[in-house]
Amino acid sequence: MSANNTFQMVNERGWRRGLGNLLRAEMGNWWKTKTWWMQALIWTGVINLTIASVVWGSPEGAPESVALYVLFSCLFPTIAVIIILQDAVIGEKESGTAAWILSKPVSRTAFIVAKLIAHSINIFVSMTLLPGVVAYIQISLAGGEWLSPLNFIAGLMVIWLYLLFFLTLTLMLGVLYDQRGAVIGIPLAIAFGSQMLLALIPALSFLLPWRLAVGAENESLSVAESVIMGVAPFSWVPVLSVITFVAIFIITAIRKFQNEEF
Amino acid sequence: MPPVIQTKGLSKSFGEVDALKPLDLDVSEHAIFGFLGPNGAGKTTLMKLLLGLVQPSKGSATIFGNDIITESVEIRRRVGYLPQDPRFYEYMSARETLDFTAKFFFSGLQKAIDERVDEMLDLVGLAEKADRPIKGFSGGERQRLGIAQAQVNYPDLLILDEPAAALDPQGRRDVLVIMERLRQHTTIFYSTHILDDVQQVSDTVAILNKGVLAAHGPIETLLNGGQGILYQMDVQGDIERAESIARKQAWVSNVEMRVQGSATKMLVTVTDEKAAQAQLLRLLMADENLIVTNYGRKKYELEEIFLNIVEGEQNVSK
Repeated sequence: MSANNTFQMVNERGWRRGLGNLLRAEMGNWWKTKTWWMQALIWTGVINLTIASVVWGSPEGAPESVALYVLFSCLFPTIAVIIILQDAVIGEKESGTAAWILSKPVSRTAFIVAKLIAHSINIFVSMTLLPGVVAYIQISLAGGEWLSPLNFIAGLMVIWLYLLFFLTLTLMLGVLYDQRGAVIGIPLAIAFGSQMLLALIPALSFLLPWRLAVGAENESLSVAESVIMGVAPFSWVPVLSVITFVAIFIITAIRKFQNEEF
Repeated sequence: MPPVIQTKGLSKSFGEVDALKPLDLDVSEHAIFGFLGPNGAGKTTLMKLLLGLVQPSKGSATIFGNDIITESVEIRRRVGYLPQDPRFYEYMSARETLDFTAKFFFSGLQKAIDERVDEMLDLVGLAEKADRPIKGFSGGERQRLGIAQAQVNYPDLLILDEPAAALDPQGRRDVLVIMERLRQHTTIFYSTHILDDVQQVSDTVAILNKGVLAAHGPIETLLNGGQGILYQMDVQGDIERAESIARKQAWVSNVEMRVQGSATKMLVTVTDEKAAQAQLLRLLMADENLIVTNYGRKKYELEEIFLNIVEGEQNVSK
């Protein structure tokens, strides 16, 4: 470069090239806009008001409060995760910002990883952590004793894992497809069609994330609920399976994005 | 000096469509290389190939000696790029966009980066709108911001896709002034539809038509006719005699007579410019039956060459 003696050059190399800058921008997209507090407000409102109405609205509600909290904090925010993530890659492909960014010294892996990290953190904070803290207080007050904070945090991690499944799936589909229909439709079908699918093929309960959030009828608690309650879940296999899926989705997204044309 | 950009048989097909047919091109250092062609000629595809945004179907290319496929990041470190329709993150302001762009290249003191950002904002006349979100920017303002972000890293090569397209006349003039100013530090490879601009600032021109390089060379060579040295004159009187005199000269390769009202335009292609300069007019004026009212070396307008190529009436090549 011709006249840059006063500057220090960026020293990121390989796949990390541009990651720090992209990550700052992606975080800024949440924290410098109304996105984070809107999401936090919506999900705290939806999850915690619903819990409040169940816990304090009916005398039988309290014992079911953990199960309901897990169900609401998995299923409801999944819709937001899918809607936000469907735009993460396709939106940039369509608008031309992806081409602009990738004309800079940036690795394509960094482009995807920055989105993954930023959305994972921000979705955890606004959709899992904040409603979770309020729910912890609600459930503990309603039950008359404080739940184990460590168990509750572990439960939040399981809930986050459930959302990560849909986050990474949608991100991957955004790389694979140029039409939003497929990118939104497939994760929504999995999120809300799993119950029917599991009724047909029960063995899938060990593979799909459904049982992280929802207990089996008259049988067992969901994995997240078990963790919060401090009891052994019916199986750890769904956790391992979802972690494996998340890894596959991330690797596929990164690999496919290397050959994407803009 | 090795060329800054060198392509060898570089081509790109999208399915059955050949967006760019095998292209051999050299762009030398500090050139202002104007790249012309109608819509769909393959100009943007070529630029995207050079930046690694699309993958070539065949052939190869280097920039600063680095391969465009395997060393793309290293190339992009030294390049500034303005897309045809520049788009940025709408939640950012112009200042934030330039700061963001600069940080792909520079780290360290924020003050130095801030100063560079301010310099770029002044350069493109966006200082007063620097802190407004881009969401409300007009096409021209986005274009100006695009030009600023392309230069923020002091690039050794600027690739500009239609840099003046969305600008008003003053904006266009400013862009040309900036390009002239940058020439001493930077090689500029740009595409445009505005032929006047190319004629004003470019030193080398390539014309791409339907994915094929139809003409390529120094702009003076193209404007002088490309295929030979051409003199034109308006002749009155015995025009057959005039044609005969010209054809008898060993350094004349072709004579074309075009009747235009009472006058005849005579086009003489010569192989020896010095002999033509010394003798052609004198030979014709020496004949009492001939009157020459206008005489000079034929200079093409770029628009004329461009339209001839695009309309397939003429194939000018280096």
